Amino acid sequence: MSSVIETRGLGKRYGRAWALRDCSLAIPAGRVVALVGPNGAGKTTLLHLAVGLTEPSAGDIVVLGDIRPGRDKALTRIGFVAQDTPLYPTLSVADTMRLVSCLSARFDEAHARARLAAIDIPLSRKVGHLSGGQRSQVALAVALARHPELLILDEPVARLDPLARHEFMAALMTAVAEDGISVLLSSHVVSELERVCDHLVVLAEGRTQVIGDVEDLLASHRVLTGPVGQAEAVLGGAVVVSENRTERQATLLVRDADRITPLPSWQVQETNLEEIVLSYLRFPQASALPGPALNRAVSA
Amino acid sequence: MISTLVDVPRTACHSLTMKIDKGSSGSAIEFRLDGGSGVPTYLQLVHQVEHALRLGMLVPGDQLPKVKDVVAALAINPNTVLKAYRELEHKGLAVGRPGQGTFIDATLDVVPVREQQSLRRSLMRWLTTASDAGLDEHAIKALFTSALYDLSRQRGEAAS
Amino acid sequence: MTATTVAPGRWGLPRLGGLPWVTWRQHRLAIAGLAVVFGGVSIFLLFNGLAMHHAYVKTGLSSCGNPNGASCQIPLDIFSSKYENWAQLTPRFLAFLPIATGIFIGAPMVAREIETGTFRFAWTQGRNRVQWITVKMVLVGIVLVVMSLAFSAVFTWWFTPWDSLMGRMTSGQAYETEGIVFAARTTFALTLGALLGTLIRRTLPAMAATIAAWLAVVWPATVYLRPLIMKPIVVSASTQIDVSRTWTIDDWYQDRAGHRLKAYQMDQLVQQARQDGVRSRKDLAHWMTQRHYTERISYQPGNRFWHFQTVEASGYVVLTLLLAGATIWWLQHRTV
Repeated sequence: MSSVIETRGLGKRYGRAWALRDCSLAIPAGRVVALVGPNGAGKTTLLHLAVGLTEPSAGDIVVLGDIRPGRDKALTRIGFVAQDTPLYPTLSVADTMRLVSCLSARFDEAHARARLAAIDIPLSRKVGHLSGGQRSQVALAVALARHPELLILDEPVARLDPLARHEFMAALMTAVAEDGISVLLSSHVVSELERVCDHLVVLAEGRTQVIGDVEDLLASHRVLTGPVGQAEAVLGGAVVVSENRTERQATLLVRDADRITPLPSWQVQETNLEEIVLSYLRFPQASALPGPALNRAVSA
Repeated sequence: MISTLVDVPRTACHSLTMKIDKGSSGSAIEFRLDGGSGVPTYLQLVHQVEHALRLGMLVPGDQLPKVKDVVAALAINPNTVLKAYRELEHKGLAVGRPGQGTFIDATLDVVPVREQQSLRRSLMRWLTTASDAGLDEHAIKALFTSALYDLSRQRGEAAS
Repeated sequence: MTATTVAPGRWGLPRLGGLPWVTWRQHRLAIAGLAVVFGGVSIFLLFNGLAMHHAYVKTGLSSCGNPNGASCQIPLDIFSSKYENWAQLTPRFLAFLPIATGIFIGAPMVAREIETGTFRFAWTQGRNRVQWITVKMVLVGIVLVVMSLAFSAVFTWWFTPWDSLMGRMTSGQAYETEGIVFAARTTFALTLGALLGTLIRRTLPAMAATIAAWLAVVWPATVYLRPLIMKPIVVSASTQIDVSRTWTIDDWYQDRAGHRLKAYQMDQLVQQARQDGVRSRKDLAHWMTQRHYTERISYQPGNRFWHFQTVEASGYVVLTLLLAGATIWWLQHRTV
């Protein structure tokens, strides 16, 4: 199975407004995939469609090869941690584990207990009395104890302090290292994703804008700085994603940087993921979507 | 590659950024990340290993930290660590033994102290000349970086 | 690793697993609360009942024959003065107990999950929402049926003296709490709450809606539908029937031709009778008979109790099944 989630023209409408529109993508297996975009871009909608919490209004979506989301087969193989980690606040941690074990086909209780013991979370404490970071760890621990093939997380660290964020990500990455699970996590904070994710999907206003490997994106995008008069000349075959021009100077973020015409007065710099994402979000008409490759994946 | 050569003089003056801790993880070094440096994560790991080799803190036979441990400490993608270790293998510095881990396999030529001192003196002379010519710190850095880039490109072309 | 361990629990009972445990864990407080209410009332009925039964025998009411007869007057007065209030008020209050089920268990079942967002956790662990709600409604329904049937039995025992005196058929008295209608209304309330919770998606409004809907169904059903179950028997008032043990539906006068006298006609006649010097009901009856007006009574005899109970309970059971089905359908197809 080469992709864990495939969508074709997927759309979801609430009333008159389209939360997600014409979304076609293939999320590769065995990766840590980031789904980024501003609030209201449709990230939560897409994730909810993937776990069967809601039905598409248009297009279709399959998970783990060819299963429709929401089917038992999909539910047992996909783990999900929703936004703000909804757990039952009156249940103790131990009871929460029991609840998940009763609802899941497989539950590795020893695994979950070990994980929680390692971070000093008492099993008898009620979930409602835990801190935000501890709740996230509990949600992650029970999700991982189900040994899913794909773990989906909706803004898992949005409300966490830096230490809790680090501990959460460390726990998640350890699970990826140990079990090789695929991860899809959404976030509206990009800066910390660069060292965690190796594949990126950018959603803006309900549509996909960027899809690609983080490595490829970093390799193919460059920031050019130089005299504004030569801006067209230096471009060559590259595509401008975003630009900033003053009277004298132009700063361009370009794609397909290997096609630029090197000119002496121009500075070529590497960029980072946050700058790339922000540039695309600021210029919605730009996009970096895989073309024929995507269609091949979806129709397979 | 650029930042490695720049790093050396700096760490010669300041305290080491690595811990030698054979106890807890059973490995000789622990990695750290500099998030703001702009250097790709995997390269930072590679450089830190090379650094340790150069200073003699890592010797052939030492085991590099397990991927799981690096990931748990730094919260980075395991593929990044794998990529770093592959790069070290590609450079011939390390070798992976299936089921056991990745081990140091070679040494880096340690540049003798006398040669380092002589290089430092000629560098100071050049810096004085550049400064007298009117270049400020940033201009010097830019010139140096650009020349280093050209050098590594030449070396790279020569190698291939 | 398998989901459920077979190791015995705390008291050596087999450990509950799967959706049954989930149901228990989420609703145990509400079910326990209802058990406390049923149990508490039962204990009260037990103590009160023992005293009441004792008094029923001691005053001689149990052995004096027809309760309407002269020999029973004094025992009846003694007995009633002490226990009539209980007999009147308690059944009226208990008839509303089924609503509590709907409010406290049915309405929050789905509404709470959606309101607090925990459905995003509950429905993504491997069991889909249809299985989840079905098991919940079935298991909770069974527990409620058992509890309410047991309670009805306790009540029936308590009310035995009054059943002998008044019969079981009278609305608003024993009928709603004895027999099987009580249990049927309880399951009806449960599924009504569940459906309204699913539609309204907020717990408190769903609770309010459940009360309103329950009343809107039960009250008209009691007043308008129940009499239709079986045609009442119509006799003339002079017939010696044991009127006390029946449910008197109506009584009226009709003229010689058999037409029922209307209210204004009755008023006129009563005025006339007064002018003629009639003062008591007995005299009025005599005066009317002289003018060839006969008094008629329509009633449902007490031996029809179980027929009525069965028909009415079946109606509520059918409603229960329809509501449960609607809940499942709506949850699957419309709830996001």
